[in-house]
Amino acid sequence: MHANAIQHANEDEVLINLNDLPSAKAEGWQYTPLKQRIKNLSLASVSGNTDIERLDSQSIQRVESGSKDAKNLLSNYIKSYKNTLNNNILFNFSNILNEELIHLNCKENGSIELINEVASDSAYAPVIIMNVQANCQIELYETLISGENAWLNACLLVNLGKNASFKHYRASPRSSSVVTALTHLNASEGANYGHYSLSGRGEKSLYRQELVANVHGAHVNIDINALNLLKDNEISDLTVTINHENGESVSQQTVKTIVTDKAKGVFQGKVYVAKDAQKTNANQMSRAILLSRLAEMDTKPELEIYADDVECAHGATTGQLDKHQLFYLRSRGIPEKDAKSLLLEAFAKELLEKFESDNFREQAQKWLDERLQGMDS
Amino acid sequence: MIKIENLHAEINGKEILKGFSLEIADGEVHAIMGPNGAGKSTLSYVLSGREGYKVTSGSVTMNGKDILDMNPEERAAEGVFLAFQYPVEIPGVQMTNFLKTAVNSVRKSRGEEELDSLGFLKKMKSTQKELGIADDMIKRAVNVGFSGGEKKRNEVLQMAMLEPEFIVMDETDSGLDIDALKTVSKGVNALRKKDRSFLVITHYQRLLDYIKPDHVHIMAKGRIVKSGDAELAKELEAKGYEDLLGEAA
Repeated sequence: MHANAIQHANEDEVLINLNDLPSAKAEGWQYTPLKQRIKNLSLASVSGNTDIERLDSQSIQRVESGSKDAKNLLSNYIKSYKNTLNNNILFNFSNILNEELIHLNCKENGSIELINEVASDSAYAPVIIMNVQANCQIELYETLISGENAWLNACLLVNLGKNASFKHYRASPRSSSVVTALTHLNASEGANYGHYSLSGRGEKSLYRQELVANVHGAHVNIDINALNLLKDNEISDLTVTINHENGESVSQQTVKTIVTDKAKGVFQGKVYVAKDAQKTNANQMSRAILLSRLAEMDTKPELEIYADDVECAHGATTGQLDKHQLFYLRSRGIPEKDAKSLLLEAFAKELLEKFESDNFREQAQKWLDERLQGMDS
Repeated sequence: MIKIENLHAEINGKEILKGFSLEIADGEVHAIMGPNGAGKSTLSYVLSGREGYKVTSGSVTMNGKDILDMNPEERAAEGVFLAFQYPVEIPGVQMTNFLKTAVNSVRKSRGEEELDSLGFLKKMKSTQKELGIADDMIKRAVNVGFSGGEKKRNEVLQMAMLEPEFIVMDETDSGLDIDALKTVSKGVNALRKKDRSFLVITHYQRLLDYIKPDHVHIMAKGRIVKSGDAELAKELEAKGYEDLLGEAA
């Protein structure tokens, strides 16, 4: 037995080597104790399932991990973007754990439903490579489901062709286990990426969403929107890196978080602008409301700019509900609890208005109404 | 109906109201004037129940009920309304949603039936018409992007919708040009009736040309130092606080 390893139940084989997991000192992992939480799980096997539905006329290919085809696919994806993927811990784990690789080739406009599910007492690390071809418009609805005492590590590697459009809707994961999700994206000239995600599961769940977007052309538009409603002892982390390698592109990050109980929200947003990426326009805004004394929000905005003709801004606020607004509402006869609900809903709803999909927006509204119940006291 | 007796109140341990007493009968309009720092705004916050103000002695009763033990929403249900000097902007909360929630919260507390959407809309439309308020203002978020005049007209609109019995107006004239002042005053005058009382707090006499008070009181150092009729305001305007109050202030 290895002291630092999680074993397969019936075999001598090492499932996860805990030393490969990031410690609390590792760059980018100071606020999210992944190692500690994984250590406390008793993972017995690799077991899970990936469903892809409503494919329209896209082609899908499942290849065995480690096979020649899989290696080709991965190396084609990685080739030019090595630096941002090779050292990524979540990607490395997928590489170790995953048994098959799914290749999704999108040639025509359409919407796709992607469901990743890990079984109880298991780890599951699917890798999906998506190729959205030039001028193609795709909507992806992603659901992450984990059984009890499990770790789901989902990797989505996306190549956006010229003028391709990719709207990525991600509902909050279900159940209370560990979920990590990496979306790694390469955008060609004129491509659009819209990310719309919800997070909030409560209990002792841990969720880390990692987004890496590489801008490799002009007129690219990256628009990231995340709404986090956190309670109990949960930790929800959104870590974004946008690499503006080419100029004349736009990126926007808007994150809104409400935290109560002993929950913790984390937002780490990094914008890198290369020396030649002139006329880049990058914005970042994180706003958080803390509703309890032990609620926590850790915000780390980072700008690393080497070009001199750019517009970059970041802002971060963490505070309580506005006392003046609260008093104004109460002075009109609205009970304190209802006044708080009104303010919290207004805070969160502003973000939902950016969700372009009517279906997803309605789903998000329903989720918001349910989540806010009990957060407002 | 409103009886304020020997009210003492402090904020952060500093006493601001030092024995303020005033009685307002049904349907009367009383004006409170006073120099900066007299405690006028503190009085309005203490009456409406804002947090942070500590009443150390004295009482405020409305129709015989002590309101100082009530929280702001209970006071609103009881019929107290504060027209803010600086109405608060609330992004994301739509005017109609806000007004409907407020009207129905108050109705519920008063034991009246809540209005359904249609009933509310009817009341809203007729009030808008009465006050000359365009739909455009109703479609926006509460006070967001409103001009100074619009914000004060919005206070009057809320006043009309909530049908309070006791209205405290805190420096309603501040930040208004003469046209806006006339419009707002016209709205307030339309709401005057025999079972509704007003306490108009103002720094300048100008507002009282449009909202005619029955009584005028001069406040200094946390209490009323001189009372009279509407003529007192004019006298004050001519002489200034220092001259009129002399060493008393």
